[in-house]
Amino acid sequence: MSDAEIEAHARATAALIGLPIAPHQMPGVIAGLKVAAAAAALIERVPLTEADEAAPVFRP
Amino acid sequence: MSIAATVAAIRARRTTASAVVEAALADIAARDGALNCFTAVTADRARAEAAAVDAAIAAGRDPGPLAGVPLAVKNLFDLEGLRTLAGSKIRRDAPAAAQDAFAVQLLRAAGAVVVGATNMDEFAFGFSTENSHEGPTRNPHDPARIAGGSSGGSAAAVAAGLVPIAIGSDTNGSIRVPAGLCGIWGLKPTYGRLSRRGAHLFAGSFDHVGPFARSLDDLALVYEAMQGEDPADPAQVPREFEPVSGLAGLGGLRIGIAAGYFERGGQPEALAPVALAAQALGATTRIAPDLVAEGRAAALLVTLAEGANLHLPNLRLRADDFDPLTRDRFLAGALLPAHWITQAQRVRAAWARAASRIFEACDVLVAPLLPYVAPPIGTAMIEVDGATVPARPHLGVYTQPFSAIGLPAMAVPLADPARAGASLPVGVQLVAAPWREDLLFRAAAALVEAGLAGCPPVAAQHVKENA
Repeated sequence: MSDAEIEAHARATAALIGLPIAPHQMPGVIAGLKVAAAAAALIERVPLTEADEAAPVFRP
Repeated sequence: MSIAATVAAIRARRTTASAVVEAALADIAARDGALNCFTAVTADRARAEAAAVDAAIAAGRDPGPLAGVPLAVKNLFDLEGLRTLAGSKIRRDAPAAAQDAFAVQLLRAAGAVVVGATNMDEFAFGFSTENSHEGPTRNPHDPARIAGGSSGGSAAAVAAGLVPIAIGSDTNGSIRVPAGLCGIWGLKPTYGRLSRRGAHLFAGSFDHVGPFARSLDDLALVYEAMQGEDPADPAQVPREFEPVSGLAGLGGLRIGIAAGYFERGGQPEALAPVALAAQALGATTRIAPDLVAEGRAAALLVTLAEGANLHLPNLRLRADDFDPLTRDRFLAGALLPAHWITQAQRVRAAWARAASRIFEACDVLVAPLLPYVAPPIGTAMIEVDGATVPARPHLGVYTQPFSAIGLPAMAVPLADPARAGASLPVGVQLVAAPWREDLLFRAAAALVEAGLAGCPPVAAQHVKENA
Protein backbone atom coordinates (compact mmCIF):
# COMPACT_ATOMS: atom_id res chain seq x y z
CA MET A 1 0.00 0.00 0.00
CA SER A 2 1.11 3.55 -0.64
CA ASP A 3 1.62 6.05 2.15
CA ALA A 4 -1.48 7.87 0.92
CA GLU A 5 -3.58 4.69 1.16
CA ILE A 6 -2.27 3.97 4.66
CA GLU A 7 -3.00 7.53 5.70
CA ALA A 8 -6.55 7.20 4.33
CA HIS A 9 -7.04 4.05 6.42
CA ALA A 10 -5.61 5.79 9.49
CA ARG A 11 -7.91 8.81 9.06
CA ALA A 12 -11.01 6.71 8.54
CA THR A 13 -10.33 4.30 11.40
CA ALA A 14 -9.30 7.09 13.77
CA ALA A 15 -12.57 8.88 13.03
CA LEU A 16 -14.49 5.65 13.65
CA ILE A 17 -13.00 5.27 17.15
CA GLY A 18 -12.91 8.97 17.99
CA LEU A 19 -9.14 9.34 18.03
CA PRO A 20 -7.79 12.68 16.83
CA ILE A 21 -4.53 12.48 14.91
CA ALA A 22 -2.63 15.72 14.43
CA PRO A 23 -0.70 16.37 11.22
CA HIS A 24 2.67 16.17 13.02
CA GLN A 25 1.74 12.72 14.34
CA MET A 26 0.74 11.27 10.97
CA PRO A 27 4.23 10.39 9.60
CA GLY A 28 4.95 8.32 12.72
CA VAL A 29 1.52 6.70 12.56
CA ILE A 30 2.11 5.72 8.94
CA ALA A 31 5.53 4.32 9.83
CA GLY A 32 3.97 2.34 12.68
CA LEU A 33 1.25 0.95 10.46
CA LYS A 34 3.85 -0.12 7.89
CA VAL A 35 5.69 -2.10 10.57
CA ALA A 36 2.40 -3.67 11.64
CA ALA A 37 1.48 -4.45 8.02
CA ALA A 38 4.79 -6.22 7.50
CA ALA A 39 4.14 -8.33 10.61
CA ALA A 40 0.60 -9.01 9.42
CA ALA A 41 1.89 -10.15 6.02
CA LEU A 42 4.14 -12.65 7.80
CA ILE A 43 1.35 -14.21 9.86
CA GLU A 44 -1.03 -14.16 6.91
CA ARG A 45 1.12 -16.83 5.27
CA VAL A 46 0.72 -19.32 8.13
CA PRO A 47 -1.54 -22.12 6.89
CA LEU A 48 -4.25 -22.19 9.56
CA THR A 49 -7.24 -24.52 9.44
CA GLU A 50 -10.75 -23.91 10.73
CA ALA A 51 -9.73 -25.92 13.78
CA ASP A 52 -6.96 -23.45 14.66
CA GLU A 53 -8.47 -21.31 17.35
CA ALA A 54 -7.03 -18.60 19.50
CA ALA A 55 -6.90 -20.10 22.98
CA PRO A 56 -9.77 -18.34 24.78
CA VAL A 57 -7.80 -18.57 28.02
CA PHE A 58 -4.08 -18.51 27.39
CA ARG A 59 -2.16 -21.25 29.15
CA PRO A 60 1.53 -21.56 28.38
CA MET B 1 29.00 -9.97 48.77
CA SER B 2 26.11 -12.37 48.12
CA ILE B 3 22.77 -11.46 49.63
CA ALA B 4 22.94 -14.67 51.64
CA ALA B 5 26.17 -13.37 53.21
CA THR B 6 24.63 -9.96 53.83
CA VAL B 7 21.59 -11.53 55.46
CA ALA B 8 23.79 -13.84 57.54
CA ALA B 9 25.84 -10.87 58.74
CA ILE B 10 22.70 -8.95 59.69
CA ARG B 11 21.18 -11.96 61.46
CA ALA B 12 24.41 -12.58 63.36
CA ARG B 13 24.47 -8.86 64.30
CA ARG B 14 27.89 -8.35 62.73
CA THR B 15 26.13 -5.45 61.00
CA THR B 16 22.61 -4.09 60.93
CA ALA B 17 20.00 -3.70 58.23
CA SER B 18 20.10 0.02 58.95
CA ALA B 19 23.83 0.18 58.26
CA VAL B 20 23.47 -1.81 55.03
CA VAL B 21 20.63 0.39 53.84
CA GLU B 22 22.40 3.65 54.81
CA ALA B 23 25.40 2.52 52.77
CA ALA B 24 23.16 1.80 49.77
CA LEU B 25 21.41 5.17 50.07
CA ALA B 26 24.77 6.96 50.27
CA ASP B 27 26.04 5.04 47.26
CA ILE B 28 22.92 5.89 45.25
CA ALA B 29 23.25 9.56 46.23
CA ALA B 30 26.90 9.57 45.17
CA ARG B 31 26.74 7.63 41.93
CA ASP B 32 23.25 7.57 40.46
CA GLY B 33 23.53 11.07 39.06
CA ALA B 34 25.85 9.66 36.41
CA LEU B 35 23.66 6.64 35.60
CA ASN B 36 20.06 7.81 36.14
CA CYS B 37 18.77 4.44 37.32
CA PHE B 38 16.40 5.87 39.94
CA THR B 39 13.44 8.17 39.39
CA ALA B 40 12.66 8.21 43.11
CA VAL B 41 14.73 7.26 46.16
CA THR B 42 12.54 6.14 49.04
CA ALA B 43 14.99 6.97 51.83
CA ASP B 44 12.44 7.50 54.62
CA ARG B 45 10.66 4.30 53.81
CA ALA B 46 13.94 2.40 53.50
CA ARG B 47 15.16 3.61 56.89
CA ALA B 48 11.87 2.62 58.55
CA GLU B 49 11.89 -0.82 56.92
CA ALA B 50 15.52 -1.42 57.86
CA ALA B 51 14.80 -0.38 61.45
CA ALA B 52 11.91 -2.84 61.51
CA VAL B 53 14.23 -5.64 60.37
CA ASP B 54 16.73 -4.76 63.09
CA ALA B 55 13.92 -4.62 65.64
CA ALA B 56 12.70 -8.05 64.59
CA ILE B 57 16.18 -9.49 65.08
CA ALA B 58 16.54 -7.81 68.45
CA ALA B 59 13.17 -9.29 69.47
CA GLY B 60 14.25 -12.76 68.39
CA ARG B 61 11.80 -12.91 65.46
CA ASP B 62 12.74 -14.33 62.03
CA PRO B 63 13.43 -11.31 59.80
CA GLY B 64 13.09 -13.36 56.59
CA PRO B 65 15.43 -14.73 53.95
CA LEU B 66 16.07 -11.27 52.45
CA ALA B 67 16.44 -9.45 55.76
CA GLY B 68 17.88 -6.00 55.20
CA VAL B 69 18.69 -6.50 51.52
CA PRO B 70 18.25 -3.26 49.51
CA LEU B 71 15.74 -3.67 46.68
CA ALA B 72 15.11 -1.44 43.64
CA VAL B 73 11.65 -1.55 42.08
CA LYS B 74 10.79 -0.66 38.49
CA ASN B 75 8.42 2.28 38.71
CA LEU B 76 5.74 0.15 37.09
CA PHE B 77 5.04 -1.54 40.43
CA ASP B 78 2.98 0.35 42.97
CA LEU B 79 4.86 1.54 46.03
CA GLU B 80 2.57 2.84 48.75
CA GLY B 81 2.62 6.62 48.95
CA LEU B 82 4.48 7.09 45.64
CA ARG B 83 3.08 7.90 42.20
CA THR B 84 3.56 5.01 39.82
CA LEU B 85 4.67 6.97 36.78
CA ALA B 86 5.42 3.97 34.55
CA GLY B 87 7.93 6.25 32.87
CA SER B 88 5.26 8.71 31.81
CA LYS B 89 4.58 12.41 32.15
CA ILE B 90 0.85 11.69 32.01
CA ARG B 91 0.82 9.84 35.32
CA ARG B 92 2.46 12.75 37.14
CA ASP B 93 -1.18 13.76 37.76
CA ALA B 94 -2.10 10.35 39.16
CA PRO B 95 -2.73 9.81 42.86
CA ALA B 96 -0.06 8.10 44.91
CA ALA B 97 -0.43 4.34 45.14
CA ALA B 98 -2.56 3.19 48.07
CA GLN B 99 -0.57 0.03 48.67
CA ASP B 100 2.46 -1.88 47.48
CA ALA B 101 2.20 -4.19 44.47
CA PHE B 102 1.77 -7.84 45.44
CA ALA B 103 5.35 -8.72 44.45
CA VAL B 104 6.67 -5.90 46.62
CA GLN B 105 4.51 -7.07 49.53
CA LEU B 106 6.06 -10.53 49.26
CA LEU B 107 9.60 -9.21 49.07
CA ARG B 108 8.94 -6.92 52.01
CA ALA B 109 7.58 -9.85 53.98
CA ALA B 110 10.86 -11.64 53.23
CA GLY B 111 12.74 -8.72 54.75
CA ALA B 112 13.86 -6.82 51.64
CA VAL B 113 14.08 -3.03 51.97
CA VAL B 114 12.75 -0.81 49.18
CA VAL B 115 15.32 1.91 48.45
CA GLY B 116 13.76 3.39 45.33
CA ALA B 117 11.82 3.27 42.09
CA THR B 118 13.64 2.90 38.78
CA ASN B 119 13.57 4.41 35.32
CA MET B 120 11.99 2.63 32.36
CA ASP B 121 10.67 3.09 28.84
CA GLU B 122 7.36 4.90 28.95
CA PHE B 123 4.57 2.45 29.79
CA ALA B 124 7.15 -0.33 29.26
CA PHE B 125 6.93 0.15 25.48
CA GLY B 126 10.59 -0.06 24.47
CA PHE B 127 13.88 -1.91 24.86
CA SER B 128 16.22 1.00 25.61
CA THR B 129 15.16 3.17 28.61
CA GLU B 130 15.90 6.31 26.64
CA ASN B 131 13.04 7.98 28.48
CA SER B 132 12.36 11.45 27.08
CA HIS B 133 10.79 12.71 30.33
CA GLU B 134 13.35 11.36 32.79
CA GLY B 135 16.42 11.12 30.56
CA PRO B 136 18.13 7.89 29.54
CA THR B 137 19.45 5.34 31.99
CA ARG B 138 23.14 4.80 31.23
CA ASN B 139 24.88 1.47 31.01
CA PRO B 140 27.31 1.04 33.94
CA HIS B 141 29.77 -0.68 31.59
CA ASP B 142 29.84 2.38 29.31
CA PRO B 143 27.70 5.38 30.26
CA ALA B 144 27.55 6.51 26.64
CA ARG B 145 25.48 3.41 25.87
CA ILE B 146 21.94 2.31 26.67
CA ALA B 147 21.16 0.05 29.60
CA GLY B 148 18.41 -1.67 27.64
CA GLY B 149 14.76 -1.72 28.60
CA SER B 150 12.14 -1.45 29.46
CA SER B 151 13.34 -2.34 32.99
CA GLY B 152 16.62 -0.50 32.34
CA GLY B 153 16.86 1.40 35.62
CA SER B 154 16.49 -1.80 37.63
CA ALA B 155 19.08 -3.67 35.56
CA ALA B 156 21.62 -0.85 35.57
CA ALA B 157 21.21 -0.29 39.33
CA VAL B 158 22.05 -3.95 39.95
CA ALA B 159 24.93 -4.00 37.45
CA ALA B 160 26.44 -0.86 38.97
CA GLY B 161 26.24 -2.36 42.45
CA LEU B 162 23.87 0.34 43.72
CA VAL B 163 21.58 -2.45 44.92
CA PRO B 164 22.09 -6.22 44.96
CA ILE B 165 18.60 -7.04 43.69
CA ALA B 166 15.77 -5.45 41.72
CA ILE B 167 12.50 -6.36 40.07
CA GLY B 168 11.12 -5.57 36.65
CA SER B 169 8.55 -6.66 34.13
CA ASP B 170 8.93 -8.49 30.84
CA THR B 171 6.31 -8.30 28.09
CA ASN B 172 8.54 -8.91 25.07
CA GLY B 173 11.97 -9.03 26.69
CA SER B 174 11.99 -6.14 29.15
CA ILE B 175 13.79 -8.12 31.88
CA ARG B 176 16.04 -10.23 29.66
CA VAL B 177 17.18 -7.45 27.29
CA PRO B 178 18.48 -5.01 29.93
CA ALA B 179 19.91 -7.89 32.00
CA GLY B 180 21.87 -8.96 28.92
CA LEU B 181 23.07 -5.49 27.96
CA CYS B 182 24.14 -4.76 31.56
CA GLY B 183 25.74 -8.18 32.17
CA ILE B 184 23.57 -9.44 35.03
CA TRP B 185 21.12 -12.26 35.71
CA GLY B 186 17.43 -11.87 34.91
CA LEU B 187 14.51 -14.28 35.11
CA LYS B 188 11.21 -14.18 33.26
CA PRO B 189 9.21 -17.02 34.80
CA THR B 190 6.36 -18.85 33.10
CA TYR B 191 3.36 -16.65 32.23
CA GLY B 192 1.00 -16.84 35.18
CA ARG B 193 3.66 -18.03 37.65
CA LEU B 194 3.93 -14.76 39.63
CA SER B 195 1.19 -12.29 40.44
CA ARG B 196 1.30 -9.01 38.56
CA ARG B 197 -1.18 -7.20 40.79
CA GLY B 198 -0.11 -3.63 41.31
CA ALA B 199 2.29 -3.79 38.37
CA HIS B 200 0.70 -1.62 35.71
CA LEU B 201 -0.25 -3.53 32.59
CA PHE B 202 1.21 -2.95 29.14
CA ALA B 203 -0.03 -5.90 27.09
CA GLY B 204 -1.75 -8.17 29.58
CA SER B 205 -1.51 -11.25 27.34
CA PHE B 206 2.27 -11.12 27.66
CA ASP B 207 3.00 -9.27 30.90
CA HIS B 208 5.29 -11.05 33.36
CA VAL B 209 7.21 -9.89 36.42
CA GLY B 210 10.57 -11.16 37.63
CA PRO B 211 13.88 -10.50 39.37
CA PHE B 212 17.39 -9.24 38.57
CA ALA B 213 20.52 -10.15 40.53
CA ARG B 214 24.31 -10.30 40.30
CA SER B 215 24.56 -14.01 41.06
CA LEU B 216 22.52 -17.09 40.32
CA ASP B 217 22.17 -17.81 44.05
CA ASP B 218 20.79 -14.31 44.64
CA LEU B 219 18.42 -14.66 41.69
CA ALA B 220 17.09 -17.89 43.19
CA LEU B 221 16.48 -16.29 46.59
CA VAL B 222 14.53 -13.39 45.10
CA TYR B 223 12.49 -15.63 42.79
CA GLU B 224 11.60 -17.85 45.74
CA ALA B 225 10.46 -14.84 47.75
CA MET B 226 8.27 -13.67 44.84
CA GLN B 227 6.29 -16.91 44.73
CA GLY B 228 2.91 -16.59 46.36
CA GLU B 229 -0.71 -17.16 45.45
CA ASP B 230 -2.78 -14.11 44.65
CA PRO B 231 -6.41 -14.75 43.72
CA ALA B 232 -6.66 -11.14 42.55
CA ASP B 233 -4.41 -11.69 39.50
CA PRO B 234 -6.65 -13.26 36.85
CA ALA B 235 -3.67 -14.64 34.94
CA GLN B 236 -1.94 -16.34 37.84
CA VAL B 237 -2.06 -20.14 37.96
CA PRO B 238 -1.94 -21.52 41.50
CA ARG B 239 1.24 -23.49 42.10
CA GLU B 240 2.94 -24.97 45.10
CA PHE B 241 6.11 -23.26 46.30
CA GLU B 242 8.96 -24.45 44.08
CA PRO B 243 12.43 -23.97 45.59
CA VAL B 244 15.26 -23.28 43.16
CA SER B 245 18.14 -22.44 45.49
CA GLY B 246 21.11 -24.75 45.32
CA LEU B 247 19.85 -26.75 42.35
CA ALA B 248 22.85 -28.20 40.58
CA GLY B 249 23.90 -31.03 38.34
CA LEU B 250 22.77 -31.57 34.80
CA GLY B 251 21.97 -35.16 35.77
CA GLY B 252 20.84 -36.31 32.35
CA LEU B 253 19.25 -33.05 31.26
CA ARG B 254 19.03 -32.86 27.50
CA ILE B 255 20.29 -29.52 26.22
CA GLY B 256 19.26 -28.24 22.79
CA ILE B 257 20.92 -25.55 20.69
CA ALA B 258 18.53 -23.06 19.09
CA ALA B 259 19.09 -23.07 15.33
CA GLY B 260 17.40 -21.69 12.23
CA TYR B 261 15.80 -18.35 13.10
CA PHE B 262 18.16 -18.02 16.07
CA GLU B 263 21.29 -18.13 13.90
CA ARG B 264 20.27 -15.05 11.93
CA GLY B 265 19.75 -11.39 12.70
CA GLY B 266 22.56 -10.88 15.19
CA GLN B 267 26.17 -9.76 15.19
CA PRO B 268 28.80 -12.51 15.67
CA GLU B 269 29.95 -11.42 19.14
CA ALA B 270 26.37 -11.54 20.43
CA LEU B 271 25.67 -14.97 18.94
CA ALA B 272 29.01 -16.54 19.95
CA PRO B 273 27.94 -17.18 23.58
CA VAL B 274 25.43 -19.79 22.36
CA ALA B 275 28.19 -22.07 21.07
CA LEU B 276 30.27 -21.46 24.20
CA ALA B 277 27.34 -22.41 26.45
CA ALA B 278 26.45 -25.41 24.30
CA GLN B 279 30.02 -26.64 24.53
CA ALA B 280 30.12 -26.14 28.30
CA LEU B 281 26.89 -28.13 28.64
CA GLY B 282 27.96 -30.83 26.23
CA ALA B 283 25.07 -30.05 23.89
CA THR B 284 25.13 -31.13 20.28
CA THR B 285 21.43 -31.35 19.36
CA ARG B 286 20.45 -28.48 17.09
CA ILE B 287 16.78 -27.57 17.06
CA ALA B 288 15.25 -25.24 14.50
CA PRO B 289 11.63 -24.64 15.55
CA ASP B 290 8.94 -23.69 13.04
CA LEU B 291 6.96 -20.44 13.16
CA VAL B 292 9.41 -18.42 15.30
CA ALA B 293 9.35 -15.31 13.11
CA GLU B 294 5.60 -15.63 12.79
CA GLY B 295 5.27 -15.94 16.57
CA ARG B 296 7.31 -12.78 17.03
CA ALA B 297 5.18 -10.95 14.45
CA ALA B 298 2.05 -12.06 16.29
CA ALA B 299 3.50 -10.74 19.55
CA LEU B 300 4.17 -7.37 17.94
CA LEU B 301 0.62 -7.00 16.65
CA VAL B 302 -1.07 -8.09 19.88
CA THR B 303 1.24 -5.85 21.90
CA LEU B 304 0.41 -2.85 19.71
CA ALA B 305 -3.31 -3.50 19.95
CA GLU B 306 -3.44 -4.20 23.68
CA GLY B 307 -1.12 -1.32 24.56
CA ALA B 308 -3.06 1.14 22.42
CA ASN B 309 -6.40 -0.01 23.81
CA LEU B 310 -5.11 0.40 27.37
CA HIS B 311 -3.96 3.97 26.73
CA LEU B 312 -6.69 5.07 24.33
CA PRO B 313 -8.37 7.50 26.77
CA ASN B 314 -5.13 9.47 27.09
CA LEU B 315 -4.28 9.08 23.40
CA ARG B 316 -7.61 10.74 22.63
CA LEU B 317 -7.12 13.58 25.10
CA ARG B 318 -3.40 14.31 25.28
CA ALA B 319 -1.37 12.28 22.81
CA ASP B 320 1.42 14.84 22.75
CA ASP B 321 2.08 14.24 26.43
CA PHE B 322 3.33 10.74 25.54
CA ASP B 323 7.03 10.16 25.00
CA PRO B 324 7.86 10.84 21.34
CA LEU B 325 9.42 7.34 21.32
CA THR B 326 6.08 5.68 22.13
CA ARG B 327 3.36 8.08 20.96
CA ASP B 328 3.02 7.25 17.29
CA ARG B 329 3.39 3.53 17.87
CA PHE B 330 0.55 3.64 20.39
CA LEU B 331 -1.56 5.70 17.96
CA ALA B 332 -0.87 3.24 15.14
CA GLY B 333 -1.74 0.35 17.45
CA ALA B 334 -5.23 1.75 17.88
CA LEU B 335 -5.85 1.55 14.14
CA LEU B 336 -5.12 -2.10 13.33
CA PRO B 337 -7.72 -4.18 11.48
CA ALA B 338 -9.40 -6.69 13.81
CA HIS B 339 -8.48 -9.47 11.39
CA TRP B 340 -4.77 -8.93 12.08
CA ILE B 341 -5.26 -9.35 15.82
CA THR B 342 -7.40 -12.45 15.57
CA GLN B 343 -5.00 -13.96 13.07
CA ALA B 344 -2.13 -13.07 15.41
CA GLN B 345 -3.80 -14.84 18.34
CA ARG B 346 -4.38 -17.96 16.23
CA VAL B 347 -0.80 -17.93 14.93
CA ARG B 348 0.38 -17.48 18.50
CA ALA B 349 -1.43 -20.69 19.43
CA ALA B 350 0.15 -22.44 16.44
CA TRP B 351 3.61 -21.18 17.47
CA ALA B 352 2.98 -22.44 21.03
CA ARG B 353 2.24 -25.90 19.60
CA ALA B 354 5.39 -25.79 17.45
CA ALA B 355 7.42 -24.68 20.46
CA SER B 356 6.10 -27.54 22.57
CA ARG B 357 7.89 -29.89 20.15
CA ILE B 358 11.21 -28.28 21.14
CA PHE B 359 10.81 -29.91 24.53
CA GLU B 360 10.22 -33.35 23.08
CA ALA B 361 13.85 -33.18 21.90
CA CYS B 362 15.42 -31.36 24.84
CA ASP B 363 14.78 -30.14 28.38
CA VAL B 364 16.52 -26.79 28.14
CA LEU B 365 17.11 -24.78 24.98
CA VAL B 366 20.20 -22.57 24.71
CA ALA B 367 19.26 -19.57 22.57
CA PRO B 368 20.85 -16.22 21.84
CA LEU B 369 19.85 -13.43 24.17
CA LEU B 370 20.61 -10.29 22.19
CA PRO B 371 21.46 -9.39 18.61
CA TYR B 372 24.26 -6.99 19.60
CA VAL B 373 25.97 -5.37 22.57
CA ALA B 374 24.53 -2.16 24.02
CA PRO B 375 24.37 0.51 21.30
CA PRO B 376 25.30 4.13 22.01
CA ILE B 377 22.41 6.20 23.39
CA GLY B 378 20.43 7.68 20.49
CA THR B 379 21.15 4.88 18.02
CA ALA B 380 18.14 4.57 15.71
CA MET B 381 19.44 2.16 13.06
CA ILE B 382 22.04 -0.60 13.20
CA GLU B 383 23.56 -3.07 10.76
CA VAL B 384 23.07 -6.83 11.13
CA ASP B 385 23.57 -9.50 8.49
CA GLY B 386 24.31 -6.78 5.93
CA ALA B 387 20.91 -5.15 6.46
CA THR B 388 20.11 -1.95 8.33
CA VAL B 389 17.39 -2.47 10.94
CA PRO B 390 15.74 -0.28 13.59
CA ALA B 391 18.11 -0.67 16.55
CA ARG B 392 15.58 -0.42 19.39
CA PRO B 393 12.82 -2.89 18.40
CA HIS B 394 15.34 -5.37 16.99
CA LEU B 395 16.81 -5.81 20.50
CA GLY B 396 13.86 -8.13 21.19
CA VAL B 397 14.41 -10.40 18.20
CA TYR B 398 15.36 -13.42 20.35
CA THR B 399 13.36 -12.72 23.52
CA GLN B 400 9.99 -11.79 22.03
CA PRO B 401 9.12 -15.22 20.59
CA PHE B 402 9.34 -16.87 24.02
CA SER B 403 7.40 -14.31 26.07
CA ALA B 404 4.70 -14.46 23.39
CA ILE B 405 3.94 -18.02 24.50
CA GLY B 406 4.83 -17.62 28.15
CA LEU B 407 7.84 -19.96 28.30
CA PRO B 408 10.18 -19.47 31.27
CA ALA B 409 13.46 -17.92 30.18
CA MET B 410 16.60 -16.75 31.91
CA ALA B 411 19.19 -14.18 30.89
CA VAL B 412 22.62 -15.63 31.70
CA PRO B 413 25.60 -13.24 31.56
CA LEU B 414 28.97 -14.32 30.22
CA ALA B 415 31.58 -13.78 32.94
CA ASP B 416 34.21 -12.79 30.39
CA PRO B 417 32.73 -11.15 27.28
CA ALA B 418 36.17 -11.37 25.62
CA ARG B 419 35.58 -15.11 25.22
CA ALA B 420 32.88 -14.16 22.71
CA GLY B 421 35.09 -11.50 21.16
CA ALA B 422 33.10 -8.73 22.86
CA SER B 423 34.26 -5.83 25.00
CA LEU B 424 30.80 -5.20 26.48
CA PRO B 425 28.41 -7.60 28.22
CA VAL B 426 26.93 -10.49 26.24
CA GLY B 427 25.01 -13.53 27.36
CA VAL B 428 22.77 -16.42 26.46
CA GLN B 429 19.12 -17.17 27.02
CA LEU B 430 18.03 -20.45 28.58
CA VAL B 431 14.46 -21.52 27.81
CA ALA B 432 12.41 -24.40 29.23
CA ALA B 433 8.93 -25.86 29.01
CA PRO B 434 6.17 -24.16 31.01
CA TRP B 435 6.63 -24.32 34.80
CA ARG B 436 10.18 -25.71 34.53
CA GLU B 437 12.06 -22.79 36.04
CA ASP B 438 13.93 -25.42 38.04
CA LEU B 439 15.57 -26.71 34.87
CA LEU B 440 16.75 -23.21 33.99
CA PHE B 441 18.44 -22.94 37.39
CA ARG B 442 20.07 -26.35 36.98
CA ALA B 443 21.48 -25.58 33.54
CA ALA B 444 22.58 -22.12 34.69
CA ALA B 445 24.36 -23.64 37.69
CA ALA B 446 26.30 -25.88 35.31
CA LEU B 447 27.38 -22.79 33.35
CA VAL B 448 28.55 -21.13 36.55
CA GLU B 449 30.36 -24.31 37.53
CA ALA B 450 32.08 -24.36 34.13
CA GLY B 451 33.31 -20.81 34.73
CA LEU B 452 31.37 -19.46 31.76
CA ALA B 453 28.49 -17.64 33.47
CA GLY B 454 28.81 -14.76 35.88
CA CYS B 455 28.60 -10.98 35.98
CA PRO B 456 31.51 -9.23 34.30
CA PRO B 457 33.02 -6.55 36.53
CA VAL B 458 32.13 -2.95 35.81
CA ALA B 459 35.23 -1.02 34.79
CA ALA B 460 36.66 0.96 37.68
CA GLN B 461 36.41 4.33 35.95
CA HIS B 462 32.63 3.97 35.87
CA VAL B 463 32.37 2.92 39.52
CA LYS B 464 33.99 6.03 40.95
CA GLU B 465 31.88 8.62 42.64
CA ASN B 466 30.63 11.62 40.73
CA ALA B 467 33.18 14.38 40.50
